[in-house]
Amino acid sequence: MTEPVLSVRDLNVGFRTSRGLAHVVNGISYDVQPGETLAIVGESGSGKSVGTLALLGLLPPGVAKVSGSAVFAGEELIGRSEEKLRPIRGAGIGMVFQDPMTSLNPVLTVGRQIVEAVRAHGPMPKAAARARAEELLAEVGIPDPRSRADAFPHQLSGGMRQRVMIAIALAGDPKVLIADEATTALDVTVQAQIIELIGRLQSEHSTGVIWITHDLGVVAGIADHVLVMYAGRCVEEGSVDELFDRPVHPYTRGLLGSMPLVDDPRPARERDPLSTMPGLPPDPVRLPPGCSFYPRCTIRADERCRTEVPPLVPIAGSSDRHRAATFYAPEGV
Amino acid sequence: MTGYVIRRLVQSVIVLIGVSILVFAIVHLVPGDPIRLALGTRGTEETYQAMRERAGLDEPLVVQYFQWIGSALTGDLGVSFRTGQPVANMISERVPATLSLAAAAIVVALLIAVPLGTLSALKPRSPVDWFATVSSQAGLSIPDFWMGIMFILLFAGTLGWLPSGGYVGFTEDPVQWARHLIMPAVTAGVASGSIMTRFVRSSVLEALGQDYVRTARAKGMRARDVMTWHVLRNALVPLVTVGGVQLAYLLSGVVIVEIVFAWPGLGQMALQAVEARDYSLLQGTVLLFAVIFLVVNLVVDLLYAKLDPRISYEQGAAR
Ligand SMILES: Nc1ncnc2c1ncn2[C@@H]1O[C@H](COP(=O)(O)OP(=O)(O)OP(=O)(O)O)[C@@H](O)[C@H]1O
Ligand SMILES: [Mg+2]
Repeated sequence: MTEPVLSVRDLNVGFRTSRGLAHVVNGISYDVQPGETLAIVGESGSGKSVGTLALLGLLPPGVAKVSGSAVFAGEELIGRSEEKLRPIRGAGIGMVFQDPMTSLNPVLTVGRQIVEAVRAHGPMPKAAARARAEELLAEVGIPDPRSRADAFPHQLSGGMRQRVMIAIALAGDPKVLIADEATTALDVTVQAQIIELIGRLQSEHSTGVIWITHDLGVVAGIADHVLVMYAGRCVEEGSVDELFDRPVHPYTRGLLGSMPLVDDPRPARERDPLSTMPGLPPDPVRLPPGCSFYPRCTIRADERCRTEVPPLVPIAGSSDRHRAATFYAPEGV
Repeated sequence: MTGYVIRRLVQSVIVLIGVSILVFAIVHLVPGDPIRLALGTRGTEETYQAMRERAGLDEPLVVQYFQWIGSALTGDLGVSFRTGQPVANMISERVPATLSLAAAAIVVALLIAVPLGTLSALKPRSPVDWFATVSSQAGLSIPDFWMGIMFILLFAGTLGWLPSGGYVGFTEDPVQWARHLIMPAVTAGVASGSIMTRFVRSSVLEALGQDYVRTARAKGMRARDVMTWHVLRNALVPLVTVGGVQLAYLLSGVVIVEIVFAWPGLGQMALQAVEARDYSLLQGTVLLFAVIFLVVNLVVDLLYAKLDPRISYEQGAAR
C-alpha cells in the first residue's frame, strides 16, 4: 500500500456551549490514499462536516476545541497557526462546501471568486488568472464560461452555484478534495456529470477524495473505502464491498436494510434512510457512558452496551481494514 | 438604471413640494411679527406698513406661497428682513464653511469608526472591544459644547497650537483653513463616529460569521485579503446607509459646534433666522436642508445598489 496523503488519528472536536462542552467528533481516525475515494456517511448532525472543517482550522476559534492528529503530506495540521495553514488550504486540501447558497459571496462575481482561488498561492497576472477561471468553469460543465464568469451568485441556479464551488475547490490543484454533499443540490444527470468529472480529475492527478454524503447509492458507485459515523464516532468502516456485503454494526445494517434501489427516481434527500430510522441520536453535551447507539439499537442492548463504549476492532473473517464498534458482531458474517 | 434615477428624481420633487408647503406653513404660523422685530423700537407706523407691503406680507398666504416658490425656482429666495441682503447670497456665502466642516467631520467619524469597529468585532470581549464600547458610549453622551470648550481650553489656550475659532476660506489660505477646521471637525465627528463605531462592529461581526468568509479562508487567501474583500466589502453595504444619514445631519448644520467655534455655517445662520423671525432666510435655509437630505438619500440609494448587486434598479429601492 502507498503512503497515505492524509492521515487522521483520534480526532476530537468539542464546542463550548452554554450547556457545556458538546462532544461533536469523538476519536475519528482514517487514512486517505492518493487517488482513493473515502466516503463518510452518517445522519445529519453526526459530525461529518465539523470533522473535516477541523482539519483546515476552519471552525470558529475560541468556540471549537480540536485535539488529535491529522498529518497531510508529512505535516501536522492540528494546532498549526493560521498563517502556516494557508499554503495547505486550497492548494493541499480543497473543499467543496455543503451550502452553495451561502458559501459564495453575494457581492462579488463568481469569476472573481474563482480568480481569488487561482491567485491565492502565488503571483499570476490578472488576465492569466481570469483565463484559468474560465477554463475551470468550462471544466465543471458551465456553458458559456466567459459571460457566466461575470455573473453574481444570485443570477445562477443552485446547480450552477454548486459547480462554481467545485471550480473554486479545484483551482488550487489540491492533493485531497473534500466534497461535502457536493451533489446534493443537483439533479440526477448533473450529479452524474459532476461525479464523472471529479472521478476523471482524481485519476489524472491521483487526488484523494473525501466524499461526504447521505446518498448511499452514490457511495456504492464511487467509494473505495467507507466510514460510517454515528454521534461523532466511527461505528464501522471498511471497503465498499465489505461494508455493503457484510455490514456488521446494527446501525450500518439498519442503514443498508432500508437502502433504496440505486435507480430510485426520488431525490436523495427524500429517500434518505439515515434519518428515517426510528429514534434520535444522543445529545452531544451529555453523551451516554456506553455505546451511543444503545438507545436505538434493535439487535441487542444489554448492560455492557449501556456502560462501556465498544472499541473499533477488526472483524473476524474480513480484511483488517474492515472494523466495527460493536460487542455483538453477528456470527459468520 | 436611467429609468430608476428618473423615477427617484420625480419622487424627490414631489417630496420637495410637500416639504416646501410644510416649511412655509410652519414659518408663517409661528407667532411673532418679523417686521416689528426687524424695526425694533425705531420706525413709525408708516414705515412698518410700507415694509409689510414690500415683503408681500399683506397678501393671502396661498398667494405668498406661490410667489415664494415661483421665484425660488429661478434662484431667488427673497430678501432677508433683517439684513436686506438676498437670501440666496447669504446662503451661498455660508456653503463653503458648512461643506468644509461636514466633509472633515465625516472623515473624522470614519477614521474613528472603521478601525475601532473592525478591531472590536475581530476580538469581541477583548480589551479593544471594551475600549470601543466605552469610548463610543462616552462619545455619544459627552455634550459637544463641553467637548468643544475643553478642546479650546487645551489646544488653543494651554498649548496654543490651534486657533480658538473662526473660519478662513480654503482659497484664501489652505493652511489656516485646515488649522481652523481641525477642532470643530473633531468635535462634530466624534458623535457621528461613535454611532458608526457600533454599526461597523455589528456589521463586521455579522460578515465574519458568514459561510462565504469561510470559503475565502479555505481557498488559502491571505487573512488581509479575506478581511478586505469578504468581510469589510460586505460590511460596507449597510454602513453606506448610516454614513449617509450622518453626512446629511452634518451638512444641515451642527449648530452648537458652529456656535462654540464661531464657525460661519448654515446651522448658525438658521438659528439666527429663527430668533429674528427672518421668514425668507429661514424658509430658504430649511428648503436647502430638505434638498440636501433628498440628494444624500438618492446618492446613498444609488451607491447601495452599486455595492450590492442583489438590489436591482428595476424593483426600485427595495428598502
Ligand atoms: N459553531 C458551533 N457551535 C456549536 N455546535 C456546533 C457548531 N457547529 C456545528 N455544531 C454542531 O455540531 C454537530 C455536527 O454538525 P455537522 O455539521 O458536522 O453535522 P453533519 O454530519 O455535517 O450533518 P449534515 O448531514 O446535516 O451536514 C451538530 O450537532 C451541530 O449542531
Ligand atoms: Mg454537514
